[in-house]
Amino acid sequence: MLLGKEKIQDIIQNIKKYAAPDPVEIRIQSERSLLMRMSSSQLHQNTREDNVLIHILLYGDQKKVALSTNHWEAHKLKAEVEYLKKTLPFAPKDKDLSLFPQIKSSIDFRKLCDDTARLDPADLGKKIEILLEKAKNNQIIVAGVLSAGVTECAVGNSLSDHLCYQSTADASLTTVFETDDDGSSWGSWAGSSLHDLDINSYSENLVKRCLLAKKPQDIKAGSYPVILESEATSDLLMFLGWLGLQPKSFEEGTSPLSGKVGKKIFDEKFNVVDDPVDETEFYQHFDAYGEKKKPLTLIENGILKNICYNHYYAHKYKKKSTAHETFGWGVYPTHVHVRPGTTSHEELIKSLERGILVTRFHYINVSNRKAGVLTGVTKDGTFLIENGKIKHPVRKLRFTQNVVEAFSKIDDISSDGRYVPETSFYQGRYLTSQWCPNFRLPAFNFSS
Amino acid sequence: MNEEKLLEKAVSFCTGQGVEYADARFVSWEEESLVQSNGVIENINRNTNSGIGVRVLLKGAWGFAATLSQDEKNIIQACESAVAMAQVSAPLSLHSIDLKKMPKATGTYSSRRDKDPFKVPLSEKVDLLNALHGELIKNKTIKLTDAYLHFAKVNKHFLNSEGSCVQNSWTESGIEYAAKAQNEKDTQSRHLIGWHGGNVKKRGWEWIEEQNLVSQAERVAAEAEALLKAPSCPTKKTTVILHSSQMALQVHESVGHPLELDRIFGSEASYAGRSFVNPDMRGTFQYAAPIVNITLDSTIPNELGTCGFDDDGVPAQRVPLIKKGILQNFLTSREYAAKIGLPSNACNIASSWNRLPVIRMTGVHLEPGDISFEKLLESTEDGIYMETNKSWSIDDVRLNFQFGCEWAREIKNGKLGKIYKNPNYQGITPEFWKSCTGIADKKSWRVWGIPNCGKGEPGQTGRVCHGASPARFQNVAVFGT
Repeated sequence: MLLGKEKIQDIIQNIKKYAAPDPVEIRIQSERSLLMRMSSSQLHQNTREDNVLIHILLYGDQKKVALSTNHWEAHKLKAEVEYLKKTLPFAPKDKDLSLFPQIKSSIDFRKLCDDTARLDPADLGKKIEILLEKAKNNQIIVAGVLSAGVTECAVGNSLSDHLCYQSTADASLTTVFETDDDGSSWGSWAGSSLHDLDINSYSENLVKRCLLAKKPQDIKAGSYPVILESEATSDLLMFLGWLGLQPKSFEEGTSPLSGKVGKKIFDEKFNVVDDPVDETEFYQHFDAYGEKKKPLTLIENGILKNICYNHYYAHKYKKKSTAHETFGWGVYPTHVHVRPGTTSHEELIKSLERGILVTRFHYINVSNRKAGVLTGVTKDGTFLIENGKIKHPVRKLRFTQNVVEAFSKIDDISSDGRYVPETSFYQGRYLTSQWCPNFRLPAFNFSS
Repeated sequence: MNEEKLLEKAVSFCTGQGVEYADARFVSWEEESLVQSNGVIENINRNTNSGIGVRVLLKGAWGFAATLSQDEKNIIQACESAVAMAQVSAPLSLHSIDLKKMPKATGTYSSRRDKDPFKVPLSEKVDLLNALHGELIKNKTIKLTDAYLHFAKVNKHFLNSEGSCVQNSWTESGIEYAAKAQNEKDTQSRHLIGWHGGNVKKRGWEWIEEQNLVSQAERVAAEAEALLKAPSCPTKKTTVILHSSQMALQVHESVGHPLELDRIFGSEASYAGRSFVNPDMRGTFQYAAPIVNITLDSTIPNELGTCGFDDDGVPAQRVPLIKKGILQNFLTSREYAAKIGLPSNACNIASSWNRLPVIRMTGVHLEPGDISFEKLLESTEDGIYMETNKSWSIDDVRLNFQFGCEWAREIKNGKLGKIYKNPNYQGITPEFWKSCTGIADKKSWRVWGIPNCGKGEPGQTGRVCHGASPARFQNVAVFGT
């Protein structure tokens, strides 16, 4: 259910009125979305959702209580605020709590491509029909998800009448193509306009890669030089962000990067920026406190320059907020951009005498948090490279690798790369993406 | 209009559109959580949400639409959307879905709740968390603590076009509490209770009280301290004994997920993955050692996966999945059970009103063995004992797994010896289960509630439970990280 800016303003004003004189901040998300899921080469699940999520955070006397609800009617919101007002006196004090920041100027950002925003299931169905047909012609089994949605998010608080408001339409597609002899390939796309999804070339590329991956062979576990393609790089960087670049674990000393700001811990070719306002892809102009977002250099020439803070942790640890409070998912970089190198992807492969090319990883998890050790499994296109050429596809391999050490020695980075979308969301539609090139690393540990 | 009338309207409207089948589900959630970090209550949250999901089967294809609105006009619009979605799906479906007839289901389920957690004063909850923090930091090596206390009240009302009308309502209570010992070089965690989001049960505040957590704080803090001084787990192939909390995770990842029949038929291939199991293995495949019996049971009173009916309206049941090591059955829904000619065993559950139901583990349990834990230990000459899950990863077909624990002890001549930190073990599912050489008896069998099992697109967090006793496996690859 899309509320629209005026309705959102009304809701925020009402909540402020109900909460007065207590300080209050309000965060609102709404969505209307379609999601079509394919499996075994057919359209199998087809869903539509209308939803609203209103977060109310009431402050007073070094205390805070919060609630979220999808009941947006005035009388229900009034009752919810009354509940918070009754609860607040019983909440314990938090000496680290500071009042939310004042929103200094309003933001109104809208990008609603008509072809996506009309949310016509037939539009999505046509794309799926082409994709399924291309795969069928090559005896390939398809599974995946095509979704489109319109979302709104807004932040307001009782320190000013300014409102941060963003309304965007977006679409995304992820697919796995599989052959009956264990070949598979992976594709992902996301954008503001469904029209930009060239489903013919997307499908043809996946068919080609899937056929190349047929009949994978076993190879011995061990340490190998690797080429990590964009998707695989993105998988590792997402974990590096969660583990190392968020404030709580960093400040508590449980992160592999704790105490290392200003130190060179990665290869000097490694440069990473969090850029949530790069308008070529998904963007977020303000964080959930209503603080304006801007690019943040995380790693420069291998030196850890910054980590992410939200308003709360910045106050607690006497740092400056970098506006990284997400809408319910903690504090971490959501829009990572890795600086590309100068070598083409083809040259990267040609320059590798013997090693493994990894398309993506599956089910990564943390094995040792403080050390930064991750484990996971290769998936959907792993190849042995010998003398600069793909020799044969390789069966799944499990890696157990220290992610900080992995990027501490980089042989080369490709000039080409792509936006890798993060499209799996559990509560509320929230697409993000990371721009990643391909990396050639001298050593990566495959443990089984 | 009350919720049942709205559901009737929705189902009646959909059947008027010529669908083969329709159901409508009203779900409401009321939740409260407290987050404490290092003794400071950082968040006190309340969540309320509700809505209606409408599912239709038209020309053999599903359509689903969900709306938060409880207004008749908006619900009819959701019904129209569900029908429109099914119309788009039908020509792109290869196999027509055929739900086999089932008897009309009616009834209600509610969980036990002696003390309504929503009526327990906030100060009592805060006092408990503060008391735990206070006890733990008496040990000077404990520098960090993290706690999560969570309660929910859920009401789910289901109606379908075959005349079924069922209601599930329950209360959930759970607590997770971790202590971290820290020195200049290392941080080591020990959970007082509830790895993976709290050991949740469908019970009230009394469940939190019964666990008597304060009395365990000193031991847990001492264990975290000991881990700081401990060597890393050695790398070798050896016998392992896994505590029941780790066995719950082992059952979840390497038995529960691979036996989800929707996954076996490929419906999760683009996200959670497939399964190494196929339907032809039923009745013949040696999944585990003959001493292993694993059961689907969503009827154990007040456990997290327990329900009266699933979201197909099928009554909860107890079904053997693995008997004497041989695969007997899968976790099924009406749609997928029909594909293999079996009745559903009531595992089709949606996380809320805005999600399509998918096959869930509900309750999957390793049945107890016939030897006491003490005897199991005494009869182990050489090996490693591991407790409390810390890390988990498994491949997309659920074969190659690697799990890590918080706590390990050397086993030497039937006795627990040296403490090891950062223990991990790795295996291949059927080989691992076939190497099981002992399962402790009912005395050490307990059920663990896991509230955050991820599956589906858009994502759904399932609430499941697993009963297990400690179990022994031989020739397992172990190592430290």
